[in-house]
Amino acid sequence: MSTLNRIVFGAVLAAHGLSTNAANLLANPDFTTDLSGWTVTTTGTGSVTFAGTSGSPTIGSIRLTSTNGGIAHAQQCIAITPKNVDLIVRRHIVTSIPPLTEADTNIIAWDGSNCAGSPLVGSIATGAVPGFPGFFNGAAQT
Amino acid sequence: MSSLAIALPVGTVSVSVSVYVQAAAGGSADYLFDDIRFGPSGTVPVELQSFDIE
Repeated sequence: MSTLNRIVFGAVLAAHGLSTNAANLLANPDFTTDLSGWTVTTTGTGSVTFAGTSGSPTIGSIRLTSTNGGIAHAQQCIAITPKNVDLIVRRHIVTSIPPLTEADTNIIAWDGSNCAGSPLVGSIATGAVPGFPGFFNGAAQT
Repeated sequence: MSSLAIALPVGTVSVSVSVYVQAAAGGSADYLFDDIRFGPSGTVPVELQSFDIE
């Protein structure tokens, strides 16, 4: 590939990245330097921390740990009108010793602003998680 | 990477997106999440990780 082609191709990729990233509705989706924008809740032995030495494709990620029933949870709430949406996430398993209750990414649609009111569960059918009505498992993650 | 396509139900005003880990009694879990993309279908990228053309 010629140098000119490399430059042009790189510019196309860069422009593509800028335009598509603009469609992401989440704040701080890459956890570049911290967990800002995410609301963290934990119970028991659950913990949520910033992982400053791990990440994909760049350094910085969110680390959730749990033992013996502890809950680790981080959430963002987004105002949105009904439409078709996509959710994509990278997940890395550092340790996983069964039994596990859940370890994935979830979406809840709400009929009120600021994720209040009632969860709308009717048309999102990928499997509710026992104990957390309205949460939904994503597709099998690696 | 995994993805999930969702049709938000009529009446949706807001959506919560979350990552969640819970080990049951006797279990242990340590998970990293990163590069979370959520947006209208067809606009959320599956990003190129490496690319080489000769």
